[in-house]
Amino acid sequence: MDSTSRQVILDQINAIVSDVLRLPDLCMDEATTANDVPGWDSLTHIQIIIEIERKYGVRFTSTEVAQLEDAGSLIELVIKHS
Amino acid sequence: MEADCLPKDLGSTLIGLARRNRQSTALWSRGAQLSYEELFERASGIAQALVENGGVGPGKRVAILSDRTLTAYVSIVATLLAGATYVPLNPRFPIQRNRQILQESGAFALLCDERHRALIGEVVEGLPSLELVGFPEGGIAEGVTLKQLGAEALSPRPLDLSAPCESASGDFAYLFFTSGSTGKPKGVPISHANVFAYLDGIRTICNIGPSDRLLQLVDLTFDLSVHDMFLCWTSGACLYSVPENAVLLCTRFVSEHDITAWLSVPSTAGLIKQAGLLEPSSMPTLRHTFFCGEALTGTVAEAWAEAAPNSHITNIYGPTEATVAFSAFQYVPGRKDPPAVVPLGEPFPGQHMALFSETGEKQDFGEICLAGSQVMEGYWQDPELTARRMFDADGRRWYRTGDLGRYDVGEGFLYSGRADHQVKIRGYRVELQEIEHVVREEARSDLVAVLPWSQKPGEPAMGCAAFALNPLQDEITTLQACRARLPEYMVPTRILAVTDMPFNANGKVDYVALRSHPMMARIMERPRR
Repeated sequence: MDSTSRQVILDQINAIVSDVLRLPDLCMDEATTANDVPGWDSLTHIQIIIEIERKYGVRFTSTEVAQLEDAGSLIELVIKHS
Repeated sequence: MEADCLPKDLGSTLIGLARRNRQSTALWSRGAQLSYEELFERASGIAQALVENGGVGPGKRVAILSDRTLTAYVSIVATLLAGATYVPLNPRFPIQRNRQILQESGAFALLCDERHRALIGEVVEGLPSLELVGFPEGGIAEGVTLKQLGAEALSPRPLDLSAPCESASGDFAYLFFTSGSTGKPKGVPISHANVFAYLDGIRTICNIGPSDRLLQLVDLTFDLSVHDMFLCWTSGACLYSVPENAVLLCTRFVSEHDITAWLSVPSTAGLIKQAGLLEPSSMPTLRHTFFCGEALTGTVAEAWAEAAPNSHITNIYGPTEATVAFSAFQYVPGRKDPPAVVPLGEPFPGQHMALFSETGEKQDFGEICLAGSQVMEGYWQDPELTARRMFDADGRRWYRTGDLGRYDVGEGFLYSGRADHQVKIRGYRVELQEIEHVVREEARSDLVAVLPWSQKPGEPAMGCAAFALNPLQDEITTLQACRARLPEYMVPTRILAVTDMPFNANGKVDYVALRSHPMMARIMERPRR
């Protein structure tokens, strides 16, 4: 997967997170973690994951979700399942 | 009966059982797993090192700062094998709160995982009782002058060698801290005998055996984790620890790992339901579901029964002071008209539950009080608080829960609200006065009132909001300061400056009036700024 496609997925994930957390000015990069984003807690995490699953028509395992560390690893997971 | 079957102390009992279940899997965490032999050999090595290098043993406390990785569980078992008392800290708490718990507990040693090693200097600085820090995953902490033990000193030890607790054990298995109304957490010491009494009680309503797989969902500072770990390891079963960021996907986890037993607060189930993840028959392997920690609604119980059709659903009730849970009610699903709130049921055999008036008379409606072998002796180093919360009647020593209840012959005890300002926020027990105390200081306001909020009226609280009278500090700065002092679930969602505070006829802050303040409705609608 080239860097352009990764950027596209990052932009789409950014849009989902920004929508779920109501943060219109959100600008994540691949190293962004939940701790960096206000309101991204254990409650909103699930909403974000479910929205990403809907968007890409995929289903992650709970172990995969547990191992997510940053936006970059979320991109990897989307690529793996798509 | 073999000697190690005698419930002398938890450590001796557990290591005795581990010797008989060596090859069975004891623990799964984040894809890694340990057999009983591996778990107990690692723990035994740490226990021996704590005893030899630092004089840890009966009467001493060992604090543990770790995510719920293998290290956390190994450290808990190690502390018990050393004959000492474990004191869980929480990586999700602010440093200041962990320091406060360390200080109040008078912990002698601290075991820490790799992820928090760099933080340790800040956590332990200037605490007089602490003498030893251990890093089971290796490394040392720069700039820390205390004695440090790394991976080599803490290396595993053969399971057949006697563990320190087998020759000398202490009174208390663990010391937990819960929210306290005076602005500092209060310590609840639980003895080995208390834990065995709980395990005896819970075993009267479930049969957990070596083929079972128990889910471990809650933080180790929450005593529901005591049920998970010790019911599991005294049964030869396997504990599956679900990481913090995957808790709401745990229905998937159940089907992926064939989990058979579940314990959580009802809020967790409610949130899974709300997210549309509680699909019918999605958890067919579950045999036992326990809900504890807050009111269980009939609608959640019914939805759960559909998702886990082969599971018993039991509402268990009790405060940390009476060791995890004290009473149980078996919910029979399929009701056309589910109850608003599922009853608390009857106490476990041999334990006593009664309703008392403020003046200490038994009655049909009143404060739920508990007596028996599960109840703690008293609060940690706080005889005054103990005297306020415990009293003698009918030849027994009773603990006042602060919960109001009534009794029904068919259903047992029923919950009727709180007698004070304690609430449950997402299942965590919170004294609103503790939050008020912190907000008052940080907002520099003379009068602060904190109220819980829920997404719909009558539903469990999801957070709290503070009203501050003429604060000198702005909201954002105050919130930042609160985050540094309080666990995330205790930090108010908003701090609202008011120029006038409503009072009731007794001259007390009118919380009922504040509940209908327009700002509360706005928070329920859109909690975050």
